[in-house]
Formats: sequence, C-alpha cells, structure tokens
Amino acid sequence: MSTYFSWQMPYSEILAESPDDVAEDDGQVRVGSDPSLPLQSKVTALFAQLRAPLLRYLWDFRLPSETAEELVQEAFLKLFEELKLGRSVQMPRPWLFRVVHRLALKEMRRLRVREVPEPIQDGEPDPLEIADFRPTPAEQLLLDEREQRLSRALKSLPLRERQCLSLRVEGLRYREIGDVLDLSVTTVSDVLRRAVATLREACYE
Amino acid sequence: MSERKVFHPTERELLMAADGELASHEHDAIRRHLETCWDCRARMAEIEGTITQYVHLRRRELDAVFPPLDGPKAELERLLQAKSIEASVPEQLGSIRLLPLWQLFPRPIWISATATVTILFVLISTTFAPTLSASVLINRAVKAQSQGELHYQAIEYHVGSRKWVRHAAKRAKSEKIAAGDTELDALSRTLAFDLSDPLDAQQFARWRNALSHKTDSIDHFGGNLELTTENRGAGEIVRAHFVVRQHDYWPIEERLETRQGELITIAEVTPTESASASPVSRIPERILANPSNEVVAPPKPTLAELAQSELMARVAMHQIGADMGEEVRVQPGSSAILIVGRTESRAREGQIKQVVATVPWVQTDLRPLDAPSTYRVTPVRTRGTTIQNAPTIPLEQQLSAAIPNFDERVEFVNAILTSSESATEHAWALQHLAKRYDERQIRLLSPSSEQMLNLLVQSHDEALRRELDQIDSEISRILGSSHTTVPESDVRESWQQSADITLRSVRSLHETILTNLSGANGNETIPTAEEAAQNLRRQLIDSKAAVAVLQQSVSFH
Repeated sequence: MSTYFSWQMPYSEILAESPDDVAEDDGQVRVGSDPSLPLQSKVTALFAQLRAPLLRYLWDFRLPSETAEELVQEAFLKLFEELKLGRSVQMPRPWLFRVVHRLALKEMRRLRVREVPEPIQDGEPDPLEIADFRPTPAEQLLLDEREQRLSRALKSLPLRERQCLSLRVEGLRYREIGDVLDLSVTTVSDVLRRAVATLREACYE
Repeated sequence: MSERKVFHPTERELLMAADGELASHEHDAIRRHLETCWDCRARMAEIEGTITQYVHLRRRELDAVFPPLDGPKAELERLLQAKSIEASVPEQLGSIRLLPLWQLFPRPIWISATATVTILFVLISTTFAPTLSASVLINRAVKAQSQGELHYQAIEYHVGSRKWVRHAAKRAKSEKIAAGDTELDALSRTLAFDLSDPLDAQQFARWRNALSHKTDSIDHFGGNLELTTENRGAGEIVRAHFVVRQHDYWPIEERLETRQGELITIAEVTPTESASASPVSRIPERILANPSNEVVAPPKPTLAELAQSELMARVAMHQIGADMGEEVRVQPGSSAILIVGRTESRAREGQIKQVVATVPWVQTDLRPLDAPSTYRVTPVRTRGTTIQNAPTIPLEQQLSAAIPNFDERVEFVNAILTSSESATEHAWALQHLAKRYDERQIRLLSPSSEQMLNLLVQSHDEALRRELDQIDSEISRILGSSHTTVPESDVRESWQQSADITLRSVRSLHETILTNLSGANGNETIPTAEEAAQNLRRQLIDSKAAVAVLQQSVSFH
C-alpha cells in the first residue's frame, strides 16, 4: 500500500537544541511505518507532531485562535480522506502546510469579504496585511531593546516574507516552501534573503 | 596573479549556504572563501545571529500561546471516527467506478472536460464561499451552543397548518408545558427525532449520524448557512434543513420534511444575540413546492449610521476601560461595525459583549484566551521590589531621604509607575482616536455624536492630565517642590500630530520613571542623580506641554 510514508525532517540546529523538540521527534517523523496501526491512529499521531508547527504558521494570518485550530483539524481530516481513498501523500509535512495555507486564505477571504470590508484609510495599513496587535505600552518597555527592534522589523515585513520565514523555521526546504506558497525556488531564496536582510539590519544596526 | 579580483559571495548565496540549499561544489567554494575572508565570515555570523534571534523571539512569543494538545487531539479523534463511519461505503464505490470511465474517452476530451469542471468549480466556489463540510458545520454549531450563555427566548413550531410557540428557555425544559407538548412528544416518537430539545445541534448530529445513506448540501442565504441533509435510507424524515448564522454558527432554524409530505418548522421567534440582526425573522409561510424561500435583503446602514454606531461602541467600551491597549479593536466595515480581538478571559469577553449589545450594527468576534499567554505581560506591580537588590537606581538617595521606610518607598514607586502607565494608556487611546477621526470621519457624525466624541476625548484628556499632575506632585516629594510651569506654545499642529507627540513624550516619561526610580534600565549608562532629576523634570514638562497643545488642537470643537 502506498499510504505509508516516512521522511527526514530537516530541523535546523537551533530548533533541535530545545529538549522538548528532541523529545517529540528526534529529527525523524515516521508515520505509517507500522502497518498494523489503523489509519486513524496514524493521522492522530501525525497531528500530535504537527499541530503546533501548523498553528505557529497560521499565527501570521491573525485568524481567531479557534478558527486556526479548526483549520488545522480540517487539514488532517483531508489528509485522512486522501489516505482512505488510497492516494499516497508522499510528504505529509509540506502537504499539510499547503492545505492549511489554502484554508487560511479562504478563511481570510471570507472574513474580509463578508465581514470586514474595511474602507481603506489614507496611509492606514491594511489590517490583514500588517496585523496590528501591537504590544501594549507596558509590554513595549519590557522587551529588551534588540528584541524590540527585531520584533518591530518583523512586524514591518510583508506577509509573504513572514510566511517564508515561518515555513523555514518549521524546517521546510526552499522547494517545499515554494510548493506551499506557489513560488519558484529562486523567488523563495530571494524573499528569504530580503527578510533576513531586514531583520539583520534591525539586529545589528 | 595576486591582483586577481576576489569575488565575495552575495547575501543570498551566504543564506543559501547556511541553509544547505546550494549544490555541493558551490557550497565548498563558499566554505573555502569564508576560511580566507574575515569580512564575509562576519557577514555570515550576522546572518546566523539574526536567525538565532528570530527563532528565540518566535519561541518566546508563540510557545505558550496555544492550548495544550489533549483537547484538540480528542476532538480530531472523534471527527475521524465519525468520518470513517460516514465515508466508508459510497466513496469507495465512487472511486472504483470512476476509473474505467476515465479511460473510456480519448485524452483531449477529458482534458477539456477537466478544464470545464475546474472552471465551474472555481465559479461555484467563489460564488458560494465558504465551502465547508456538513460535519464541520454541525461541529461548529455544537461548539457555539456549548459555549453560548444564551438561551432561546421563544421557539415557534409549525406542524402542517398548526402552529404554537414555546417560551421555555433552552436550559429549563421542564419549566413550561405548552399546549402542544403532548403532541410534540407523540411526533418525536414517530419521527425518531427529539423535538423537546429544539434547535439542538447535537440532536441534529445524532439524527444525521444514524442515517445509513445520505447526501448533504450547504447553501448560503443572507447571513445564514443552511445545511440540507437528504435521507436516502429508512426513516420518517426524508429531508432536514439546519440553518445557522454564518458569523457564529448559532442554530436558528430547523425544517423537517416527513415521508407524508408534512413540513415541520422550528425556529426562534426573537433573535437571541445581536442587536444588529434584521427584524424578527418570522417563519416563512409553508411552501412545499418551492422551499428556496426568497430572503429579503437585510437593511443596510448608511455611512452616517455606521459612524454613529462606531462611536457609540467606542464610548461603551471606554466605560469599561476596554479602549486602552487591550487587544480589542473596533473595526468599521461597510455594513457593520466589528469588534474583534482577544480578551484575557471569558468574563471580559462577556463584559464587552454586554456593553455593546445595545449598539446597532455592531457584531463582535472576540476570542478569550483560555490558556495563560505570554502575549500580555503582567503589569508593573512587582517592579518596586527591584529596589531591594538593584543598586543602580539613580535617584535612590533622594528616595531614601524622602521616604525612609522601605515598604513605603516601594509603594511610592509603584504608585508613580501605575500613574505613568495609566497616562501612557490614555495617551495611546487619544492617539488612536485622533488617527481614526480625521476630517472625513468627523463629517459623518451628527452634532450629538460629535458632542459624544468630544466627551470621550475629554475624558481621556482629563484622566491624562490627572495622572500627570499626580506624577508631578509625587515627584515633588523627592525632588523638592518646583511647580513646573508649562511653556506657552503657539505651534499649530494638527490633532493627529499633537496626539502622536503626546504619546511619544508620555511614553518617554514612563521610561524615564522606570529607569530613574525603579532601576529598570537596559544597557544604557546610568545617569547621575542630578541628570536623572533634570531628565525627569524635563520629560514631565514636555508631556504637560504636549497635552496642552493637544487640547488646543482637537479639530472638531
């Protein structure tokens, strides 16, 4: 059966430093390597591993937290349906990111079209482009200065650049990022270069 | 040879090398270059350093935000269970039958057919967005009901030509025995559908899950979603419609069609929640032939009405202090004012919903943070204690001279910090109002609304002055009375500009207080006591001056 898969997870070294990540998965995600497990438990096991990364990725979309949670569940339901129909999902990790990305876009469109048709204000940033939950005055002061600059720079990045960074930090390769966002590898590397350059300027100005 | 130009790798190449995205020979070339070139090595180190910082920031911001895994995992398991029962028979048949059909036609035909289907699909999905599955819809409705504090006020039943209204609240079924209850019970038994707990999403789900063969479709009417489930197997009910409000998935109507051709309609008589809802949605007359009842377009507010509602919402939120830096925004749309954001608790959410409930055209989309989050940082209460072990408080001597008792000193510093924090919050609120109420927006307001806006601004303004005066008098206790005179200013700034300036100066006043009285300075050099005192006074004068200008510049008096 082609529904079983296993793959390497290229976690960056920094992420692998963290003890909880090591405990959760030691660089390997194997789903379906044990054919005796029913499909349902395989999907659930994968959910346990990838829910947090997917939620973190959705953070930039600034959807209500419950919606984000539902979208992630919906993506896993889709995965389950795919596998149940006997279709193979070669790389579940980028696959799930891609599905979640599309669902989130759809949800954003729904929110924008049906509920938030914001009349564009002069000079006012698009609320969905630059999510404006700025830190409160008190928080602002507590962050250390460099982090504050970095955080500001991060918030000033275009959504696309933030998405590329989020996907990269979750361990996706450039090609996989391109698959999720419908970009070429060259574009991905360029977007990442720009994003890192902006952040770097903020860190080392 | 030695004059040969050295090619340094570009930023992109360095990043790709760090990410292991280069071909091995390119990677080797860069590695060799880095061995020889300190400059590029420094650039590389900065790139790596930036990545490290980013990862740490992200961890700090996001790690504690999401609720634990257990709940969502259990829910997924439940959904998967439902899915595997529901999907087992028909879908497999479908996929088997599809395959030979696929191969029957020559390639060009199925390519064009696929294209047509895709275009159709795109058309349909853009027209009828959002697309969601029946189980997700029901699931959300169940969630809405389990979270909602609301009851149905009254529920109307139409059975054939008979009609009755039940006033029983949803949670107190036994409270009221309406005329039709015995009939309802009998009906419930014949239909195998419990009508005594009407509009219950779980009840609908139970009925739907029990069906052996069914098809679902979801339509979009006005602001509602209607799930239609056709029963293709046994059972008294052949078709059921389940209508929920689109924005919160709250069930509002059920229509059951029986095998005998009878239509049972169950609907709430009074809308339960939003004051903005269109007039009482009466049950449409019984139309069996054409169930796609035409929905009258809800009345649309004018821009002026919206502007007024928005202002009312802002005032209402001001009354409970929800306009001072919480993650709750008033977001004007073209047909409603949306109040969106996250609240610290369910209680706060309820409070906000309550105060805006009477404001027309307002919808709320608030999510309480269930788990403690790193997003809001605890306020300054504890910071006074840093006095004990932080020797770097520039004004420590003055502090101890004026207030010898340690505990009193802590309290004193805390009081000033609380004042300056509150001042910052008011300045922040003022700046937001100034940004929102430009000339265009103010022109939309009626005279009375303008008056209301004026009061709102004044309220913040007064609070801000009060806090600044408070800080002034407290500081005089340690620095001696100076009674700062605020320089007259005739600078003509716009309201927006002076609100910006005010926020900036109040913020830096707060920072100066933090640094000089509680020692919460970063890596900066510590000022001497004189410098600190001077600095503090100057910031205070600046803030007061800015507030004075701000008051003059308010553009709509």
